[in-house]
Amino acid sequence: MAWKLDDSRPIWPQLKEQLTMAIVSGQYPMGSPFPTVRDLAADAGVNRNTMQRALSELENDGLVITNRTAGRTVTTDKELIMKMKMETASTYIDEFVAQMNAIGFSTEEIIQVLKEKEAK
Amino acid sequence: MTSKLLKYELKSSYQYMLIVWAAMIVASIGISLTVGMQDSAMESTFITNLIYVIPYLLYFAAACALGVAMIFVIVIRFYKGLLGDEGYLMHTLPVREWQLVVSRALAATIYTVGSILVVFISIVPFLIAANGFSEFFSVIGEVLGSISFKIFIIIVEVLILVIFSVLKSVYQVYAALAIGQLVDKYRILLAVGAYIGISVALTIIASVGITLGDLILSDEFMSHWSINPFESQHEFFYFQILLFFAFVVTVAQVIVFHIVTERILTKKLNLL
Amino acid sequence: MFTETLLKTNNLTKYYSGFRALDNVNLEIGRGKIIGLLGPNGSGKTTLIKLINGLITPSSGEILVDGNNPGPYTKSIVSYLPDKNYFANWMKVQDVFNMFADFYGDFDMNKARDMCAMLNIRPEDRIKSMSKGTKEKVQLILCMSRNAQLYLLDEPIAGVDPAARDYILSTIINNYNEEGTVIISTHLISEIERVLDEVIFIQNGQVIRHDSVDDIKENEGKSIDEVFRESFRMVPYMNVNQEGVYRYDK
Repeated sequence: MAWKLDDSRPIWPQLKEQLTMAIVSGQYPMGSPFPTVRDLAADAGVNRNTMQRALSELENDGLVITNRTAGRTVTTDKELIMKMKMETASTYIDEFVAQMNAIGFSTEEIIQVLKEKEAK
Repeated sequence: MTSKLLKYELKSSYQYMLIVWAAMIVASIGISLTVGMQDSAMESTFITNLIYVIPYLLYFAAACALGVAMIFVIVIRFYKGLLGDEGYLMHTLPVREWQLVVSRALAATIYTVGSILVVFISIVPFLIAANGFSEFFSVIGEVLGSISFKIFIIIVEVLILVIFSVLKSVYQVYAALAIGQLVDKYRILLAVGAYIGISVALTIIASVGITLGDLILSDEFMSHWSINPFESQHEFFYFQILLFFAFVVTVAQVIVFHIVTERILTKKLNLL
Repeated sequence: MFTETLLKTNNLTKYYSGFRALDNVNLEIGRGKIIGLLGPNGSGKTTLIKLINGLITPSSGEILVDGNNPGPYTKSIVSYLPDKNYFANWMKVQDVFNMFADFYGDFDMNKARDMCAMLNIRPEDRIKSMSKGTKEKVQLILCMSRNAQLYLLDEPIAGVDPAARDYILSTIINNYNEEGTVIISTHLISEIERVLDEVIFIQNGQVIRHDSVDDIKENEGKSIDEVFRESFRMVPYMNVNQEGVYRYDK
């Protein structure tokens, strides 16, 4: 995975966000085995406590499930993934709209611009 | 643990020691061979003279190398191995300081006693060359045959005393080096000063001891000492007392130097 | 059983020929953490680490590793990477491996061999003839092949190129014993801050800060590197006079 970490913020929430993205986008398909803390930590170049904390949060959200026997797997709950997808989408939209507003586009104008771009 | 430490310490210098010892013996054999050549009355030319001289030079070089090796084994191995950068490895091993000290003292003693033996062995070819093969061995046989049980005992005791004296000399260096590392600057200077100081103190103590002994011991004892000690039961006994006394004094010094070294390294280790 | 606090120092002070290298240091460090010991050169980092290892003795105060003063027991649970090359001239790689196996019950010979093989270092290689960087890597391998309680790494990434830095850091975070704690001393913070749980800032022999990395980032919204630069800012001499005009002295 390509990790992008910003040192001015705590690392674990960033790991959580990026792992959530990976699950929502299907990079880790539903029901598939999830890598171990050790492997993920080594890949991201962070320590295991930090990665452990991010994974615990994913477990709390239900995106990752820990089985006694099979280790961690990605959830098979379609609705949950859809919900997460919508949440992520809404964050992106908010950011986008805020930036467009900042350079003087109204919401209607944004829609207009998007449609024109789509048509090309 | 101490034996493991000793194993690695012996390993650190055995190659160098073996080479020097071998060079010593080869050179002495070379000398005895050229002595033989001279005897066979060859014409004396520049070349033959050169051939005669080379083994002597070799022997001299080997003797110098042996001296350097002894300094290396006694002083440098302790200084570099425990008080220099290698100390970062040795002092973080889960062992006690006395084990580190004893392992080095034993290794140094083994190599020193070995070197003394090699020097003696290197004299043998000279003797053979000077006296001839058969005569040398007949003399040796005679000497061995004439050794009584008492003399045998005394030889063994003297050898043990020599070994402990070597150990004492090694430990005196260690104690001086341990004192030297107490300061952050001029460590070698302090170590040399400590060594000289200890030597002076020992000399003073010894002369006081001898003077006192002179006063206390009877003239009768002294008169026994002046004649051949191997003749009668009586003299043998007196000689035993003397040897025992020398042994006690030497061992006492070993113990004191060991305690000084060990305490300093345990309580006041100061690696730079 | 191990004590909960792995390392504790009480009023630890160390003088070097009159100079106060450590001044009344009180630290308490738990288990299972990676901790950065951060400070400028000469701030007392190496002095602290050497004291914990028993290579020097405190002028006053005390050090407890798993409840014990430095000694054979603490040395058996501490794995130390000094900033010095500690090899003797006679040693081959295998000799040091044997030595570690003989003395440390927690040394994993196979791991050490594998790590060397990855770097094309052979057991029969003589250490004396290696480059400085390779010697340092062998020392790192020895240190990280132990299953220790406390790893003390003194400036492991100073003076090496970026590729070697990555190798060293990933070797550390992938090989330490997870119940143990790693203390890394360095003045190169941006390179390692991502792997740290806690930081200890040390200046002029005093601990001026000991915090969790997440707390610092959350409260101050800055990287540890920035916080460090602010804490240790030095005012450079500018040769500027009162009016703010440069003087030109001939």
